[in-house]
Amino acid sequence: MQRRDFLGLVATGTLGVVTLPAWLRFVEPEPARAASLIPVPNDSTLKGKRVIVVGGGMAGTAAAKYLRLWGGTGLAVTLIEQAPAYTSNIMSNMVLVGERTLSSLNYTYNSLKSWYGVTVVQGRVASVNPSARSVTLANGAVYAGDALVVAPGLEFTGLPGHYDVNLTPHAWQAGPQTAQLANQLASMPNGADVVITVPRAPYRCPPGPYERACVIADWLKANRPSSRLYLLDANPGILVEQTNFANAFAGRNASGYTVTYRHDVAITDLDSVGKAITYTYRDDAGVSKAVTAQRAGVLNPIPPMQAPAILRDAGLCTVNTANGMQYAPVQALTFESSVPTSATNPAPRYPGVYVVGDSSAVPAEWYPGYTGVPTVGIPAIPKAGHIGNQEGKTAASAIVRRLRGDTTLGAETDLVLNSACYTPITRGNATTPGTATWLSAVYEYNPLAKSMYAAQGQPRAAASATTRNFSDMLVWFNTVMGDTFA
Amino acid sequence: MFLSRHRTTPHGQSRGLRPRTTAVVVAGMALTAALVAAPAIAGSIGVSSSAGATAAVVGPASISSTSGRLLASNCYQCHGTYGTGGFERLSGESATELYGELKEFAASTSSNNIMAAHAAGYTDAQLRAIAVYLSTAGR
Ligand SMILES: Cc1cc2nc3c(=O)[nH]c(=O)nc-3n(C[C@H](O)[C@H](O)[C@H](O)COP(=O)(O)OP(=O)(O)OC[C@H]3O[C@@H](n4cnc5c(N)ncnc54)[C@H](O)[C@@H]3O)c2cc1C
Repeated sequence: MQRRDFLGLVATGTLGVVTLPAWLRFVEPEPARAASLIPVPNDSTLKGKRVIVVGGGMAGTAAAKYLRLWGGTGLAVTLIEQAPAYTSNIMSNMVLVGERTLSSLNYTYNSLKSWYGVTVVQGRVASVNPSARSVTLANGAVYAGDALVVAPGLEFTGLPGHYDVNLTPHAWQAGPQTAQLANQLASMPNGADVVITVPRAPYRCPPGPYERACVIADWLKANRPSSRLYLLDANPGILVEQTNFANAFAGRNASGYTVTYRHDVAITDLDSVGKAITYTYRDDAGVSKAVTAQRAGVLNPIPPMQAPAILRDAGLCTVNTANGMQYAPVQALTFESSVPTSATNPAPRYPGVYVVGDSSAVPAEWYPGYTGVPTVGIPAIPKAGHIGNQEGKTAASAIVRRLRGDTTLGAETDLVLNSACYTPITRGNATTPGTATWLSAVYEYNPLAKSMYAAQGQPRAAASATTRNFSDMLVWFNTVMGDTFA
Repeated sequence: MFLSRHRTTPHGQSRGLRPRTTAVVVAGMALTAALVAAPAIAGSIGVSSSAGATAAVVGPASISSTSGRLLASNCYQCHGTYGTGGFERLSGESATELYGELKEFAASTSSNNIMAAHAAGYTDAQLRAIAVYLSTAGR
């Protein structure tokens, strides 16, 4: 029965019982891929202790699961999530072009509840009281714990001019907006253009907007051959996987499509009704150019994003000077809030409050001895799901060790945060498999600086887009979702 | 030097994700002592899920053993919780074998192999700790 639950969760991919897109035929079945459910150790050491987790996304769900796996049956874990099921952002670009259904990205909390013994409360947290390690729900209910883990993801801001997210959805949080944007694309006439805008870093999933441009351009090539795609980037250049994306945008390496990429974009007006955008950008010679009221058939602005109001209002955030957005600063080793007690006392003000996932800001720097020219976006810890899962585990480990009275935490030098993203470059068709690239980064802990750094030579990207990477992408996706939700 | 047998797919591509060193592992000797000296976290205890179902004993015997636990959990996003699935099962392989494979990846110059990229980011001591932990986890 447990087994069936688990299969139900991951069956949308490799084990395929839903719809099997053409490219799945190229995935080699391998029995070892079905992971087993791991029992929660029968251990009552932490009886009487409780941890509250807010947000059942990539980071919060992993935290809740591993709190039980590492804390044992004695530790009570409550997960508060507003939605009945989670919709994965990862792979949601494939929904935009009809390669995947939105429902194939849904993950329930059944395993968490029935197998791992997490108490799952469906409700919206209205406020966080970090001094009391408690939260208040919209319905007035209050939950307090010995530790509080906050993982609510991101909130999206506005954009200049006549911007209306209801008319021009960002679809950067998978759900109804994803379906809406997919419909807009499907009903766009041949010859109309797609315009996507990218906010200044940091934002969720560094390669994500470039991936979206590739996937949609590949679809346009087959379905709207007279249409063009413009990618308008607020950053000074492609942030990650520069070679792979530049090749794809230029139609090289068999991508067969082109993307008009513009950088240093500053939007002055967005008209969501008329689907027009006015902006300046810098050409490759560094000359500033102005574009007035460029028309789009589909306009997809991705606005800047920051930690949600429940974190900002609780005094758990600081402003990031690069983009003016607020994120919750945390200590690298534990993901416990690092907001200081006062201007003169740097001791953490809110012990026992942890922030994981996209809401958090982790101290990061170049590796010791780095002499190169700093690049935008590196070495910051990316806001991404694979590493968000690891952040959840890191906080879970720290919490359990502390509750058990382990005083060695902090002396160790063995914290590593691993990030991985697979990016489809072409979708493939009934006879040809798609191609994909990957980006991987390993971050080490520097105990002297109390900071993370990208290990020398990191991040690394795939040498090129390959069909092998495409099938690996599906194994990776199913497994990272399984490690989180199953 | 390791001798690797790469699996080959029907399409003729090397699986290449993980060198197969099950057949011949010759570089492990010097390490064995160090690996064996690492804290013993193996053993067996009766475990049952919170839902009351009994299952095969998986996971390290003692939940107070934290050596390598968090480090090894970096593998689970691609190899399943406690290394029990995903691209390939890791749990239950010998520490020497796992360490040898990780070192082979770390030394690999293959620019299209994601495991080479991952392994290169860890220190030798970390790779050892991961190998020891996984050899006892999820068995
Ligand atoms: C198109 C796209 C592609 C991507 N591809 C990749 C990829 O290839 N690899 C990768 O690693 N990452 C990828 N990402 C990024 C990844 O999806 C996010 O970084 C990840 O989901 C962040 O996890 P999180 O737990 O912080 O937030 P989320 O996953 O957003 O989870 C937050 C949860 O908190 C809940 N919540 C929020 N507020 C409240 C409240 N007040 N009360 C109760 N519950 C609340 C929400 O309902 C949600 O379930 C991609 C993202 C996008 C948009």
